[in-house]
Amino acid sequence: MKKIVLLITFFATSLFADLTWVKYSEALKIAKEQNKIVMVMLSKEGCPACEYMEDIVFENEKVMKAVAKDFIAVHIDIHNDYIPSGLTYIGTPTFHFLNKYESKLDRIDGGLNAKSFLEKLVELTEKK
Amino acid sequence: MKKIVMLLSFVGMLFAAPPKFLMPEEAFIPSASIGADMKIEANVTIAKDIYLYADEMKLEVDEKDGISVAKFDAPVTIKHHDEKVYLESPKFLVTLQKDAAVSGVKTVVFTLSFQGCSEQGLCYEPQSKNFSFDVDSAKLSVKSDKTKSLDITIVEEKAPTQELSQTDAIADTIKSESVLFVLLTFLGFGLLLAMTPCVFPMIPIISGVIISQGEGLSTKKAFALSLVYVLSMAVAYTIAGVLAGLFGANLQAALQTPWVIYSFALIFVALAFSMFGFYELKLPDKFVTKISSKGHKAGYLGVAVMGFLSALIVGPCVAAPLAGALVYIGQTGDALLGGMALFSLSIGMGIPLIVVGVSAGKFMPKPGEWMTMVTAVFGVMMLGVAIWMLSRIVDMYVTMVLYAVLGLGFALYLNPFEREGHIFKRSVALVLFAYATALFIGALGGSTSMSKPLEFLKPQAQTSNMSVNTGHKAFVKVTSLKELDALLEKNKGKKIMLDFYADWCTSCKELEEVTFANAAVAAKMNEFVLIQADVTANTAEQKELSKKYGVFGPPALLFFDTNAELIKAKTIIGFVPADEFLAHLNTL
Repeated sequence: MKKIVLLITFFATSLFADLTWVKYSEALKIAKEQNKIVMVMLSKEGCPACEYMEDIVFENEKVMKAVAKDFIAVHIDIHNDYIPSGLTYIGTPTFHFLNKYESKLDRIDGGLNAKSFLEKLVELTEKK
Repeated sequence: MKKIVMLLSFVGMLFAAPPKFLMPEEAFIPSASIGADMKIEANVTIAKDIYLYADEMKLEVDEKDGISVAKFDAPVTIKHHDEKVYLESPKFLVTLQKDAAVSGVKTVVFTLSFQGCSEQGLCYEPQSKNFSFDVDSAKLSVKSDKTKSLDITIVEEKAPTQELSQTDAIADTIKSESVLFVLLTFLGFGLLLAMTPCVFPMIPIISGVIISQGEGLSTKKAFALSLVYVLSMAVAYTIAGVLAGLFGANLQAALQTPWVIYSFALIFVALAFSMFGFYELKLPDKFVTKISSKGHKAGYLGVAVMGFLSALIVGPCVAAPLAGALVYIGQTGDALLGGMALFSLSIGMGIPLIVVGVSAGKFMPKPGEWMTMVTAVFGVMMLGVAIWMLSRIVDMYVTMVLYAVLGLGFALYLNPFEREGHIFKRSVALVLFAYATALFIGALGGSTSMSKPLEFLKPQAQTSNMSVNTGHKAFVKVTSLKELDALLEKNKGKKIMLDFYADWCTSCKELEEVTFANAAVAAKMNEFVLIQADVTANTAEQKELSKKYGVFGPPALLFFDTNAELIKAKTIIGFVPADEFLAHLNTL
């Protein structure tokens, strides 16, 4: 059953190419099953760079496609959500990338524009 | 396998590009120091491309020792990404205050909290740093209940307004200057106030009191009597002022009830008649002997009582220095220095009166025709004072008729139509006769102006024309906070002027007849919604009005901005001349 739901979500995400944010624990599970990279975005309210990422970068067609293809996106509000240990930050937004073994692949501090962010994603995909 | 991955990821981490962002402790360097004036200067030095959120700035002290933040001055902010921010390292100046009971040196923990972002796309977490200072509480002002809970006054795109109303500036003077300086300043204020209509009625009173002492008055005794009068006047002012400052109750306003005014007017009538020689005004012998074995001391007592009462009843004038002293007493609870300032102020007001009193004694002629004339003149003046007192509670019509009758009576007494007598005396009498007649006709004709009693005779069209050109529109009268709040709400978006007024307030009438009557001022005033808070009756509701705005007594002119918020720094207390008032209006 669970698999069907996941499958549907998966199709839905690829069909509409809209970004789906899932919970951290779930993301780890999916990553294991589908051999994907977990992308954790740490953000908070009142952070212009976070808004820029959400409203502009993640609305970018190419970025959305790249994320949907190889990543499982997790969104954590550092003031309201539980922050898993190891996901450190000096500010927001901060991105952590983890492989299916929960090991850190990379980290991005601060926002990036769509082009640079995409390059980073591609680089990570190759690392996978 | 797992181990290898972990190792790999570890290596990966090592090779991951170092963050291009500064660490928080590099991005922001908070610092703070305390000056000799016990003001804390706090800085946040920000690195390149870093900005701070103005709304997240917090400058706090732990209030366990009764020391709190009175206010802080913040620099100009800039709109950036729709937020108010500091792009340059801001500097803050924190003014502390203490609870009344606090004394000695206290160790105060000051916390500076801030939050900012980097232009390159990273927002840092809120941070704070504690600083510990030894604060000498003797140098702090006492926290007053009136101070609103701490609000950060951040003014956008505009330098913070440091402007103080005249009253607050005077209160600050008392706080920061030496005692001697304060006393001398207030003495000076008093001398200036002596030249206002508030003190004028005292002149006939003191001269009358001195002259009624009768013949053979030595200069020394005249001086002593005047001094007693002025001292008791000063004591009365001081007591009334300290009470007003401590409890916010206006003793002088409380005394403006009809029966007090009637009785006081009656005292003047009695004094006048004794001047006219109808009888000799003396306390009953029994009473005199009880107070003092020596009869002549009764004179001093009478003068002292007169001084005391005339301060309370005759001249309840609120001027900026008086209000300043009252604000100081109210804020600091320091009745001693505040009281001394008030006493000094009253002595200043009294010095010219002493001069008047002494000269009244000195130039008192020998018994004879002239003596009769002089006492008669003072008798008439006493009656004038009595009518003037009554004018606070009776119709203008009655007042004018009374003045007219008094003037006519005196003119006829001087007998202007007789060929004998000095030409000067006859011309004065004739002018007086003409004026009093005009006043009488004016009163009958419905005029309410003492200076232009015959204005009603002018052609109607012309008068209405003139009033259009020169008059300000009528004040909307309110007598309760509810009425005022409703009006303020209704007139949001307009500039509002609120005038605290009472019938018994001499300076209010002076304002109306001199300042507001000025054509330029009136035209400017018409740009404002004019509201008048009438506190004549001193009812509980009217007291509430005064209390809400910290007005000790009328006149007080308060201004509200277009959000119906009081612009405290623009408050005017007491009389203000037309040109000064116009300049003041232009700043609004």
